[in-house]
Order: sequence, then structure tokens, then C-alpha cells
Amino acid sequence: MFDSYVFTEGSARNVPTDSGEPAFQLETLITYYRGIPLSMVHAVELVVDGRDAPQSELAISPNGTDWFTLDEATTVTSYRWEYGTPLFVRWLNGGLSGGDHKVTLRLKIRVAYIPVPFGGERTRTVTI
Amino acid sequence: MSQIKTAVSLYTLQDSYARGRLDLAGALEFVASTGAQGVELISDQMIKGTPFPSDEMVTTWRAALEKSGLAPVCNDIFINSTIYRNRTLRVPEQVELLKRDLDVSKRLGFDLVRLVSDTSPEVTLATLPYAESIGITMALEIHAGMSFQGTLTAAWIEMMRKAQSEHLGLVIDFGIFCERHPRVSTNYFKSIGLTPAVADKIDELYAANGDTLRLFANGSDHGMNFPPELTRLFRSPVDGEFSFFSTGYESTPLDVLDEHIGYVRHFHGKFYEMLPDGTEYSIDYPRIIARLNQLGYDAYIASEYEGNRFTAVDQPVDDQGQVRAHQAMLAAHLNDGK
Repeated sequence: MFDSYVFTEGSARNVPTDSGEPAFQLETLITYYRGIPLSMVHAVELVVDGRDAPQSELAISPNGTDWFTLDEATTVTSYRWEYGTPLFVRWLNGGLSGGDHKVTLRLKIRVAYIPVPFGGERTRTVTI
Repeated sequence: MSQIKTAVSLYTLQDSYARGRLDLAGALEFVASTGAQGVELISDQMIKGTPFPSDEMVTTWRAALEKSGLAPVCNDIFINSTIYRNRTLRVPEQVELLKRDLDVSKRLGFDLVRLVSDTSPEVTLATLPYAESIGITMALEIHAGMSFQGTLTAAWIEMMRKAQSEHLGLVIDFGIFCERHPRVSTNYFKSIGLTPAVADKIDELYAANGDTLRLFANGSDHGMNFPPELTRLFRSPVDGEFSFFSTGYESTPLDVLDEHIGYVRHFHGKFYEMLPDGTEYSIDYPRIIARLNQLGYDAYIASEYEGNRFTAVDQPVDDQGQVRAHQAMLAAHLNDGK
């Protein structure tokens, strides 16, 4: 239902980070119809070429500047992921190697009046 | 003489906004161009920084609203009680969040807010003195799947009846008046693997029982007590999900309007699919509007398009065309039954 909003086309690339190590980064819109505090992002999963990116190596940012590991994000209530604005997702793995990769992003959020977290997913072929 | 007026909920234009076809000012301009007199907002959706938007953001909204000439009818708010993964916020914490949303609604020019279904009656009652002090009305949404038979909805209505405050009321969503299951939902689920025989059986059960909620839910909210004649057709994981989703529509007798009209502050004119002949696929608008006129309803019906949800992946969403057609239908029938 919200799959069209997951994993923005053309957003995946290797980027430099503050640590000096490159990272693999992509963007997604929210799988919902309003903005939420970042802590209500319930799950972010990245699968590259059939391999799950370790959860401890993923980081997200609602503005492209301030980054949070998934564990940190569980308490981030003062930053909002605004509707119509991308969430940036990074795999802090040194970046992907050159060539084509099959990349899947899965996303779930958690709201009060829907009994289970819900979201969407999208797979794209990414050329580095 | 009572006069129903029309509005558009910006929920309707969520895809246009997210995809950049309309910005906030453009959305308001578009709503005015449909002939609607009012607008319903979801501040969490289009007012950045909610519940603490900058003065600049509020000024931008107010200027665009004034330019559009639209009346600010209702702001839809939520209580983020699931903000932490490991616990649900306690009542006093939820009251604080609700007060913040009342404040932002007031700053944006609204004196009516829609509380989302399943909002706690205890939280609402504890916030009522504050709402009264700033002159804002809190109205619970009566939404299909969680409507009058729902446990929390019934408890909230009981609280409202006891409190007898002018600052409490109801927003009824027309999705409780679906005479047949929306086929845009069926077609969407077919596009992701729904078994056709399950689709046919849901239509059959909906028609035979009034709706599927009363068959699957044992008299409460959304349910999954599927009968064997349905489950024996299940072949795909999507089949159960679709069957569950079918309980998100109800065919409720219009008599509920007679009973509750004194408390109704606003209606969501839910629609799934406007047809070329100017009717809605699931909901008989002329019949409902005639009843509302007989009851002397004197406020707004806001177009709320739900078909965006059921557009196949990467297919265009015609939210603007659909809401134009919906507003034209409302205009044509606004005085039915008078």
C-alpha cells in the first residue's frame, strides 16, 4: 500500500562520511501519511545481494546531517521525519563495490491506533 | 434553514504533496478551485515542525489560507502514545501531547480537532478543561472497522454523553456506510497476489451479511474469525490480509445518524472510487445527504479520498481528478431531501 514510497529511485550511492570511511546510502519516503518522531520508526532492514546488512551497521538521519544508529533512534523523540521528506539510510560498511547490486529496503513504523507495526519494501538494482 | 457545506481534507492530496505536484499553498488553491468552502488539515502532514512549528511556518499557512478564501474546518490530530518501543505512554503523558496538538491547532486557526479512533476516553476527559479554556472542540472519529460497536469507541461515547460538554463531539466517516466492498481495494490486492476466488467470496459474504466486519469480528473491532468457506480458498499470504482489510468497511444503517446527530460536529466524506457517471462505487451519497438534511445537519462534509492507498505500485494517483469529481457530486446533491 505504501511500497511506492519506499527506496527513492536514483537515491542509492556511496558517500563520504565524517569518519573518513565511505558508506552506502539511500533515501526513502515514509510509509504513512504524516510525519512522526524518529523513535516511531520501528524497523529498517537492508538486504544487499541476498545478505542482510547487520543492524548494528545501519544509521538513519531525518535531515542528512544528524545521524543515529538504529539503537539510538529508539529514543530520538525531538527529531521528526517529516511527511514528503526523505529519510536517509546508511550502511556503514565502507560502501558497495563497483558494478550492479540487488538492494532491498524494508521499513516499518509504529502508530497508536494500528495494532501492529506496518510499512513497505522495495527492491532495486543499483549500479555503483 | 440548515445548509450543508463542503470541504476537502488534505488527506486527499497526500500523494500530490509527497510527490511534489502540489505544495501547501498549491494544495489550498486547488481545494478552493474544486468549489469547496472549507479545508481540513492534518498538521502532522503538511505543517513542518508540528507540534512546535516556527512562527514563520504558521504565518505561511495563515497567509495561504487567507489567500485561498477557505474556512479552516477541522485539524486531524494524533497522540503518539507509541513513541517508545518498550512502553505505551501513561495517561498524564498522553494528556501533555494532546494539549500540544490543541495548541498548534489553535495557532493554525482551528476550533475543531478530530481525535483519531481509539483515543482514550480517560485522556480526553483529563484534557477537556484545557480544551474548554482555549475554546477548542475535540471530536472522536467514528471510522469503519472501529465504529460504534468498537470497545474503545463505545467507552469514549459513554464518556462524552456523561460529560455533556459543548467541546466534545463526533466526526463520522462515511466509510461506515459502504454498501459494497470497494473494488479498488480488491484490484490492488489482486495486483500483489490475491487469490481471485477469495476476492469473489469476500464480495459474496459482504453482500450476504451486510458487511464482513459483523461476520469476522464477533461484535467488536476489526476481526479475523474467518469462516471455513473462506479459509478453504486461501492460497496466498495476501488472502488473509485482504480478508482482514475487508473489515475496514462497514454497512451501518443510517439510523445511527438519528441517534448521534446532536453530537456530530463534522463528517468525513470518505470515497474510494468516483465513477464516470458521478456516483461513488461503494457509498450512496444522495441517500446519506438526504437523511442529513432531514435531520437539519448544518456543518461540513469533507472529501476524504482513500483510493490513493489502492493504486498499484508506480501507477499514477489521480487524487486531484477524483476529488474534483467528488466535490461535483456533493454540490449536485447538497440539498437532497430538503
